[in-house]
Amino acid sequence: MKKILTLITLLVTTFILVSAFADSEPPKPNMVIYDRNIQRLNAFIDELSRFNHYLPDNETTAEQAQEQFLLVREKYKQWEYLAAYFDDQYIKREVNGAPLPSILPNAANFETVEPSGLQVIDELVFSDDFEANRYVISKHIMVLIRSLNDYKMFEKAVYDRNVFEAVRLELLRIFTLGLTGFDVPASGNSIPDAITSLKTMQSDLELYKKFFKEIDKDNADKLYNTFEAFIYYLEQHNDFDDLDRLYVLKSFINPLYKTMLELHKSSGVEMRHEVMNASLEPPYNHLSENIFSNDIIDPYKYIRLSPSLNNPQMVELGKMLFFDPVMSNNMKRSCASCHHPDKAFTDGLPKSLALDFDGTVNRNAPTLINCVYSERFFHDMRATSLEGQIDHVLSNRKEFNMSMLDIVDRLKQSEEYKSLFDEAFKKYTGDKIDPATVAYAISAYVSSLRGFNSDFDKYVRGEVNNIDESVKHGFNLFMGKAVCGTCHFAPTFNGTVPPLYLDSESEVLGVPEDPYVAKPMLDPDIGRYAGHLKERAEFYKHSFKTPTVRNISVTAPYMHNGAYKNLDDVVDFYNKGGGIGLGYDVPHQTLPFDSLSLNKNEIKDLVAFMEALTDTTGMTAVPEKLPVFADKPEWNKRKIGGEY
Amino acid sequence: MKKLFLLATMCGLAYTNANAQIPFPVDIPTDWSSKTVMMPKSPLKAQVLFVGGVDDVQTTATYGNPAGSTKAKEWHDFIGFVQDTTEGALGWVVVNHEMITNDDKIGDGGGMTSFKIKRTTGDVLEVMEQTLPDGRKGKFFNVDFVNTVGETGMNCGGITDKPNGRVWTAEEWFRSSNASLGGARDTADFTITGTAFAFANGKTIKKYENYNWFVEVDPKTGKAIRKQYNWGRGGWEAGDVMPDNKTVYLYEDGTPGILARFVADNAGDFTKGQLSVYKHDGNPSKWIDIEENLDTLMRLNEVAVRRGATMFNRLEWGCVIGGKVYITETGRSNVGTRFQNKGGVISPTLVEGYKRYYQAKNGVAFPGNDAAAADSVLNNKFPDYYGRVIVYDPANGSVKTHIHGGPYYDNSTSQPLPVYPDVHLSNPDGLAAMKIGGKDYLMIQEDMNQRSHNSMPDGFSHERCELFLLDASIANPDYSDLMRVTASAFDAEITGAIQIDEKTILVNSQHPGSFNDSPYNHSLTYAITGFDGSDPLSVTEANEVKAKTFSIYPNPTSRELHMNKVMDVALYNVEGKRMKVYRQVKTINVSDLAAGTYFIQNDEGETLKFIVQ
Repeated sequence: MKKILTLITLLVTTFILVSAFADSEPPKPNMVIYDRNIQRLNAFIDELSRFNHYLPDNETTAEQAQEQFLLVREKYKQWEYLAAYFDDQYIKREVNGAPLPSILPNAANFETVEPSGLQVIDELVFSDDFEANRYVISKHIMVLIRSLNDYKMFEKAVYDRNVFEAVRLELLRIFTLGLTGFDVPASGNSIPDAITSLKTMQSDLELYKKFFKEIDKDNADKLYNTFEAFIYYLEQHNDFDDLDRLYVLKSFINPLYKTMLELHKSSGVEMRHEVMNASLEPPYNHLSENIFSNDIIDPYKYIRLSPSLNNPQMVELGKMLFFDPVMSNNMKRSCASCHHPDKAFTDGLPKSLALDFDGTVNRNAPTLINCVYSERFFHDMRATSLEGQIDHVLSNRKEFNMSMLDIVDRLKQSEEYKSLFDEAFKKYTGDKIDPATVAYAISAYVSSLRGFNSDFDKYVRGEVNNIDESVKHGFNLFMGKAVCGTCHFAPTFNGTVPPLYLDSESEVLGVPEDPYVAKPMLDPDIGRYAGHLKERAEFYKHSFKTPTVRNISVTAPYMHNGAYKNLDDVVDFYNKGGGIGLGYDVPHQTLPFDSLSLNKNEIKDLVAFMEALTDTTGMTAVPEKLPVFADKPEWNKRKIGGEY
Repeated sequence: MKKLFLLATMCGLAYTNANAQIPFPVDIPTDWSSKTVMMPKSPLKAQVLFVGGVDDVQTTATYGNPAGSTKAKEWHDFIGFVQDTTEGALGWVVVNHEMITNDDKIGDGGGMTSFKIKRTTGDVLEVMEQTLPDGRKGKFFNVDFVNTVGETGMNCGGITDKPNGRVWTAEEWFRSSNASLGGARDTADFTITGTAFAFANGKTIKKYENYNWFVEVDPKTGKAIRKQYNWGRGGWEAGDVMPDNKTVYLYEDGTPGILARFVADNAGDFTKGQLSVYKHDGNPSKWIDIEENLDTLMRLNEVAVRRGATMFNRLEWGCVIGGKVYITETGRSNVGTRFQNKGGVISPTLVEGYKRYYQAKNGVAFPGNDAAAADSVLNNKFPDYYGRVIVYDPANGSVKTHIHGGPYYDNSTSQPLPVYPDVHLSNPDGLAAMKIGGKDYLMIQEDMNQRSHNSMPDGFSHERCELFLLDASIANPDYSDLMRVTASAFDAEITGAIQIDEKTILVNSQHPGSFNDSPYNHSLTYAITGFDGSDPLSVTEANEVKAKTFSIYPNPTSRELHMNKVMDVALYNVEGKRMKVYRQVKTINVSDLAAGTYFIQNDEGETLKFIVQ
């Protein structure tokens, strides 16, 4: 009886309430989150103001300041997942960018911009000499507060899709930038940061719980349970050095990443590709299901060749050109002269041999596999597309010593090449053999040399069930204690920055000219400083592009100058703190100078992990013959891949 | 009572949870007919003329290399045009290259490329085969700087003096040492000889000091004529020759940047005359004369500002309409201390810009006077995100803002969420005059400094700069008066636009993202033809289609659909599959839709057929 009474009461109450709500509709989740997003920015500014209020007080100790700063970080992390999703450029430039000087973009003159924002403050607050930094910190906080106060003008309209997409992007950000320690250079507050982000997203997604359960109960349950389990796990495993990041990736990050996508799809809510022109999207692929999936980054974002123009015939043609010495002035050298397929397209030499045996070129030949995933090309980052890079090789006196027009003239003399170009460029409106098509064909081939299909990738994706313990341990070191992952970002393990993979970075390591002498000296190559004209900044002296670690087991020797013979020595160099660690002066070194304190076993496991990133399957085929030049019998004697 | 409250909260929560936003169905039925919105073909036609990095240019003998050909340089910026009706031609086009590439056959600067065009059947433009007086044969010709007046650096803007058929090129990126020349092979000192400038002849200057002057060029011979040493050396972007053929206004891209004026003694001879710099609060004259002294002229900006000149925030291009000089002030957000302790005065246009920003940020008008606002600008309180177009009136010597840049949100809408503006104007850069059917327009071209701060909609990862027309007769224009004509390739700057006759404008798309489709992944010059048609700018409200819950009309020129109110809209393909969803919009850009049949559904579930012709 009592039960029935309760039920009736409940029904009646519900009826009354629903009727009441019919007049004033309660806010939808996106409206609630819109409001929260505004409140989070306000809370972040308030916390910064509080921090600034304490600072000038000489009673405030370093420990108190650090404690207060972590409260600031907490407020930032609550705002981050939507803020960085909506306006990554603002967050990078003014709020949470790397603590390094940069060059003012789109300026009238060369100008450098001093770093500001949370990472700079992090370094100052957690430095050994807090007292000396007290007022500098305060200055930085005031700059940030003013910037954020201005930013309040730009209120963000929050739609359902924004929430779903921002959550996935934040999961990728947490894994690649957060848990690696990337954005906490001194405080090392990675794990608490991640917990804050996760709890924030969890609380916003809570608003969609009933909706999700109605449309897709399995995935909804999985989403909410995994969030819970992930947060619990991090709370229990809060040691930066010991965190099992591989377990985190496989058990929480990837499952959440996929589940959120599936819920978005089944919700019928519009997705990013229905809102913006494809060309306005970043290289990051919002439809990817796994952080280590082959399609997480769109290679076409880095090259001039478009997917609509590309085809298998063009890739084959590009391969032909790649191995054809007709491209070089003396017809004895091809691209393959310095990029051997059996060495993941490197040549095993410290610096490649120059044309006509005139010494060597200036730098080490980098691997071409996965090279496409880069905003810039060459060790000094002077070329802005793969096609642009090709030009430099053609015209370099020590490489091909040709001009593109000379090559076009040569190729046009072969009927066979003509028909291959006709076949590959059916959709191209210009001359079938012109400077653009030659570059497209080579680009089609080189960009086809890609894939995340090593043993390690397969293990992450669950395609194989086991992998050596040393590899697992090595990965955890790479992404954690050894801080490799803060420059060699997952999953490319190169310098192209997640989660959008828009920009590529270079670093000043202080690589020695010869590490095997008693007193090593800094390599004289000034790198990026002599690269792009608009980048002649002091801080780019000796700065070099961060290459991929994939296939590293077959690409010795290492570094831009090929100075290191094996991986153990390379890791030892980082372990000692780069050039400064070796005892010479390296102005603007970006690598931490202090020792990583890696022991022998750890170095061994790191190397084991890097070796597990080897995969050249399906990429090493060499053409069996080259096209014929009917009127040039002497040209037909040229050797596939060149003579040397 | 407490229990009831709890229950109420729970019910409320349940109600909330069950409601996401209105989802547009992923598929809709298409088997019934309804009212139809027609998007007619655009009256305008685009045609690519000159592609950097692909087309080859004919070169003179340079740096020991014989005359020959090489690939054209990229980064097309300014377009000069000189009428020439010989052989049935329209005239000579000359294009600046801002990109520095070391090239054996051209030299180590950016330089220019010249070519002659004519119009053939169907209004198609054709680049004509030519033989130059120096014997070069071909379609595209490198303008020779190396063997004439000395190299240039990044050729950005310039001056086209249409009535008199003269062209000057300007170069930005002010050089401060030989090391900043970007690996130019020739860094030997430069001795000025045989010029029209007695004060300069015989003087030996550093190589870098021979950069950053205006240079007059002759497109018909593919040669540079003279460096305009008497106009001063600076971060020049562009200028304008007035109808008197004596007065030239010059615009400097810098923070601070200056406005300069040269008045020739005799019409058409710009080698003799008086250079002065603008000081808006000057009394009695608003112009400070600068003496003809090479040392002074070499550091004109520093001298001018020290003498109290007006300081602008990056002047770019200009045009003259109705005797008034319109200039873009493109802006930059992180001014820092660049205006401080220089001696110059803050431009009234920055004072106006600051007040606009203050109002948007605080919701109330700036309480202080103009001097206080100028102080705020001086003290780095003005993040000049978007810039503006300004106007100088020679009649009274005043300068003021003509149209503010900036997609500041419109807070006046009654929508629950902020509405991203349909039209925004970020960092106006290129500017030219245009006449359509006897009416004057400003042709404003964007070069965004950022995609943050609303310059692009939230979450967009690349930039898209647009070209707008603005009716010059509108007294106090705002964004709603801007008419979009074309957009550049993604991540490109749209620049150089120039009207060559009543039918056609030429436009450059500079340094596009590599991911654009061919050939738009290269810098290129293209023509847009059709402005002489039956008023291509009139908005065709006559074609408005009225549905039950909304109405809609197309604009075939801007390729936009305009609705009668802000709403959510989805676009479906002919099979009824959802293609696009737009939230809170009043205008939809459909320029990337292929011809065909589509459906449009609004947030009240009403569907219209939509045909793109």
